[in-house]
Amino acid sequence: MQRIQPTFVQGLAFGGVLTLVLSCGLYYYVLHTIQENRTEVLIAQEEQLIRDARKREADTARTLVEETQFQREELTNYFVNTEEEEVIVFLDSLESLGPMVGAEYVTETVGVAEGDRESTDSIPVTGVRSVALVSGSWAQLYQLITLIEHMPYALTITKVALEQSDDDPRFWEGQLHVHVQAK
Amino acid sequence: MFHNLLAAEKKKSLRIEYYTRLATVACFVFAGAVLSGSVALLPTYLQLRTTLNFLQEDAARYETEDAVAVAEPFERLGESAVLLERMELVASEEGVGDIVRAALSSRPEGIAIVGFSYDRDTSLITLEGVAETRSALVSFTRTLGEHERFTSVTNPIADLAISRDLPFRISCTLVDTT
Repeated sequence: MQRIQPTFVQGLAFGGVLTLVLSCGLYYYVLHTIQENRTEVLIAQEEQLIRDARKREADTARTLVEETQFQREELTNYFVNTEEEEVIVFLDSLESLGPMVGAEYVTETVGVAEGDRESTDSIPVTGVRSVALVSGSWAQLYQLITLIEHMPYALTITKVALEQSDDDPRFWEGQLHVHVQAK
Repeated sequence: MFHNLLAAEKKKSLRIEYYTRLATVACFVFAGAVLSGSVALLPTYLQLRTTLNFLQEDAARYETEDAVAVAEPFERLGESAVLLERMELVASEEGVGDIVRAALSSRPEGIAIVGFSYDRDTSLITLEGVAETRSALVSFTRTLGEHERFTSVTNPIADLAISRDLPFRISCTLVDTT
């Protein structure tokens, strides 16, 4: 069987078509890459806008932090650290209230309470729990309880058990459980 | 008038070659135009790459340097907000002094309280005392039961066995108003 040889013109035509196809492919590739890059640039620009907005918000927040510095420190003072020194200061101020109203307040036990109270968003709150023996007249103990509840701490009296003395009806004694929240 | 004396087959062959060459030229011209277009797009491509590189570097710098600085004031305000919420929660809780006052304000004549206990976790209040008469104890129990702050007041029927100076123990639950 005789093999058909391509003529010069046919070879040229094939070359022309091939060049056209390759050119179109290159054009499509460049155009597609530009399109992809443009999308990436748009996304990156959006992200940059968000970052800039976030930086502006941070500046505002920083100003707010500076403006509320005093109030925030005051707020922090309502909470104790679970470090010994702060707990001692807290216990001393608790015990100093007893003599102020003529009652006796003796701390019996102190401990760190891990998450036995809950915050508004149901996150367990660590605090210091103290149990004290109290004694005095009913009026004195009532005053003592009121004073404790008005202490500048985030504290709660969680349990009270008071009993009248058998020997002296004017004399009451019992236990107070006080919980103060930690920072 | 001219007469083409070439054979019909030769004429056909020449026509085909003519059109093939014409198409080839058209292909090359079009390919050149497309190539020129591709080259013309290169500056746009390079500009986009430069912009993209700049933005990516900016993003990387933000992640490594600015992110912490930006988050810091929010964290501090967040911590204070949490403390404030906890403080508000504590402030909203009813004080033991108010509970004692509420429980004993309705105490009628002839009721002596000898013991008081309150557990905030269970909201349980226990009152112990001595009632001079049965009616005084019944009246006290009823008043406590009708009080809006107390619920589940126990009925101390067993304590009514004695007619005078009845020792009693009443438990009730504090209604949560928060």
